[in-house]
Amino acid sequence: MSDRDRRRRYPELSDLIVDFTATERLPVRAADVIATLEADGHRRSAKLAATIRQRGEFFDEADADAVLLRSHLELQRLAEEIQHGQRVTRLLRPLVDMLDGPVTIVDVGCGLGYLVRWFAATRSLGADTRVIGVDFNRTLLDAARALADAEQLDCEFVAGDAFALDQAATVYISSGVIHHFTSDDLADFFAAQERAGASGCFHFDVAPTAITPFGAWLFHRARMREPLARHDGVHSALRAHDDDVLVDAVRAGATGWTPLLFDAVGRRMAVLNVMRPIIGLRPELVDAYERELGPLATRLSRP
Amino acid sequence: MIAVTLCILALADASFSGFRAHAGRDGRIDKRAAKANAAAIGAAAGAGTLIALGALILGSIGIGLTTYDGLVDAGGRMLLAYVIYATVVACGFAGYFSRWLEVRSLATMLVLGPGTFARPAVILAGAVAAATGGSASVGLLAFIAAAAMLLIEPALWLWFDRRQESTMIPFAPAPRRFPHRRH
Repeated sequence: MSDRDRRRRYPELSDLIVDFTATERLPVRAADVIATLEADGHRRSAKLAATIRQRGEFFDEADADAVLLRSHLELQRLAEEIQHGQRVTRLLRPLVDMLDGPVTIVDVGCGLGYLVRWFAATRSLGADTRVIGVDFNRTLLDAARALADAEQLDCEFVAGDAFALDQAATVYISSGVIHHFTSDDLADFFAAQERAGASGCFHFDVAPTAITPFGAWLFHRARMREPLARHDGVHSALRAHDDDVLVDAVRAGATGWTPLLFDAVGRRMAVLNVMRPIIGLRPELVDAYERELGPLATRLSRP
Repeated sequence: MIAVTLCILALADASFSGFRAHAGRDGRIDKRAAKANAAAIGAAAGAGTLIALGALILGSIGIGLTTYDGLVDAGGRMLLAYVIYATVVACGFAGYFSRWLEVRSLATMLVLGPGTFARPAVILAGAVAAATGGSASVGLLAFIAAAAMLLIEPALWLWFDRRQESTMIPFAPAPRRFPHRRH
């Protein structure tokens, strides 16, 4: 099945009910979204989309925002349970320690900024590391800022293009974002990061194994209340890219980077690392990074 | 002893129900106090449920519908199902608080997540075990008790929904639990 077919077969409503560009928010015509879903045979998805309030012919922005906010809070709960912050830190900290000068980590598509705020709260990347969350969705970013303020956390959130920031990132990261892209878009995504002058990237996403769809269904049923969160959670697992697609996208887009896989699918029990990263690094950093990683380096592979 | 053990397990289960009903509503990083508060609310709901069930059981003995011995036998069968489940969950928690991330992952993926998913079936299995070999009245009481325990979590969902403004951080309006088509 092609990327585009897979995206049509497993649509995520959070992509469809709001439309943010780098600079503005566009109204979303509810009937169009519902009709498209129905035409593609997604009657349940269409029914779910229809539960969102409408204002005239458009989705009511406040209601769509509330649904997304509740879904992202439940998503954060899942990230807390799988201890995502620790997982990212153990791979990112060795690189941060190797790099000279001030380090800036940019979390692309940060949503509520859980990871950014977690780094700031725990200082797990070192006290001098600057962490910035970037997202198009202003509602989620406002919530992220409010949460950071509530706990007096030293981190920043920026609305807009992650690759056109005033201060370039040293390392780009993301969690659960890259399955939103087709493989062609992925290559552009990696290219933009290399062009921005970053030393590397760590993009975490669901590992697509044979049991992933069942596991995603079970966990979203057991842990989430919001119907949209349950729906999108399962579909995101079904849309997750294979390792080969990710590696090829790094090679095609960031031609100056070396792609690395940590816990490549099939190499370890999937339950040990449900969110596994594709890593891109400048070639001169790879050997030193492996050494810095210590025993974990045995789980790293250079495809 | 059987009744006391069942009550302790029921209180622990209700406390976890409170924790789960509150989880995913508070976006702060450090929310230990809120979690403890939610667990305490769950335990209080469990205590209220147990008092009501106790009154029902005593009433059934009082009017001769059930006997103390019959209830103890049924409770023993019920307890067997719950003790096995509780032991597995306790092992899961031991793993979750291990210092090794891989062990914590295994505990979450293989025990705690599936354990929550299986919980309704386990509670009903306990009721079936209690009803098997007992009188119809004992069976009915077992199923009422199981239903009451199963209703605690959805009731707490609604309870937290109604207090959404103070429990959801940052605030978002509570969901419509019974959404209908709107055009």
